[in-house]
Amino acid sequence: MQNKLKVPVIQAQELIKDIRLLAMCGKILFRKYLYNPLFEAGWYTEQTDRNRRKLVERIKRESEDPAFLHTIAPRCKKLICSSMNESLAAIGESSIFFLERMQLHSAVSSSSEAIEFADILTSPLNEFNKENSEKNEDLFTEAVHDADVEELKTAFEPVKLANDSEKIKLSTEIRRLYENIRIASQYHNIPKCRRLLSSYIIRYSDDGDYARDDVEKLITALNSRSPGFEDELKNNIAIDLYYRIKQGVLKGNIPTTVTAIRKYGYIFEGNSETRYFFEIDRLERILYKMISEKGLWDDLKNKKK
Amino acid sequence: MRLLIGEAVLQITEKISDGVCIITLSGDIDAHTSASFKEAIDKNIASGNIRIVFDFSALNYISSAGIGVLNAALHTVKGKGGKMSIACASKTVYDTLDVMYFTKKIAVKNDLASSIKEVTAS
Repeated sequence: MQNKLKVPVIQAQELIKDIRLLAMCGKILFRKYLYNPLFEAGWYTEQTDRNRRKLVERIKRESEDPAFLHTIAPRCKKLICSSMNESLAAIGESSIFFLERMQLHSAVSSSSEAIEFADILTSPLNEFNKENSEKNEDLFTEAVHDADVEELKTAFEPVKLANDSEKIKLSTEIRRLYENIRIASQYHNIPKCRRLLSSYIIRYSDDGDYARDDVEKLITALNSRSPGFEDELKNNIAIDLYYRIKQGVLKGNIPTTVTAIRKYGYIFEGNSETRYFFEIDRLERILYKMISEKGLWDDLKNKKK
Repeated sequence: MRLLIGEAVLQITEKISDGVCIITLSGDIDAHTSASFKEAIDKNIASGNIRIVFDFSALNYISSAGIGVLNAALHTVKGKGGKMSIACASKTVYDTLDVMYFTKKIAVKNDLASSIKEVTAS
């Protein structure tokens, strides 16, 4: 029921990532899946706001004042409408800007403009994802096939913590994380807490000295303060890694793709209820099959020794 | 170029021998089968079997979903003062564990007897 009353943080995050991916796929697809749906929904206006930057700055300023929070969504809609007469890049930037505000303020995510915007884009962007899913596997297969052994070796390099200074750095990072989360939670800034934890987990979870127990304590504390925090955090991480994988595939960047696949495996520990679980597993099977066919296992292992 | 991939199948058998739980896997551990793999491990840990040996001699494939399940189990077992070991992994499975840096976390032995010795050693 809650989903109908506002745009959930995770939906806003997915839409942002989809728009970024769309931007990598060229103007035709960008027009088809972003511009056209907004145009058909009546968001186009002949009027161009020549001071788009100024409007963005104004919205940012007003975001900090609770008295103005109700003005953000209508202004963001105005921003997107006017950017439609400017350029595709401007539409993308304005859309992402609006979605970011939705993640930060529930007054924005529960506005009629936000709900309308998400309703307009969700279906076309799902279609875009569906069409691209199969294409991604083909692209990934080709990229792995064409990759040289050095590129694959880089992909399998772990976070290196060979010396004491690196280990000290990691323990400093967890202390910093604690402190930053303490400050953010004092101000009830749950989105920031989620961002901080998410980036820490993605960065260090596949390392031997990862402070797993400390992270779990933080998650439990934040979940009791803000019910649903843990689920949103997991979704946040899954979306982030999935889009790293997709971006890696689209750019033919094997190390980025493989690193994200490995991190996904370590973080979600075989939980099949995690987002994108089966899609990522298929890519991984393609990867190992190609490594076997090319006889690269020994080369990859030699790199580590 | 598309690779046609069929649905994975995994067979799991378990036995307790001299206080060691031996879980034998046959087939593939991937996204489709990792849940049953996890269930088998969790059930044993819940029953107090915290010395676990995985017999991988008939395992053809393991993905990060399976390694993730093993990693979670390892964390739980260690927390309870137990041990885990893998025995008889094929070259492909061993290589996968190795490039995923899991061989640094768990003892992988060439035969079952060495794995049993590993988890029973104090």
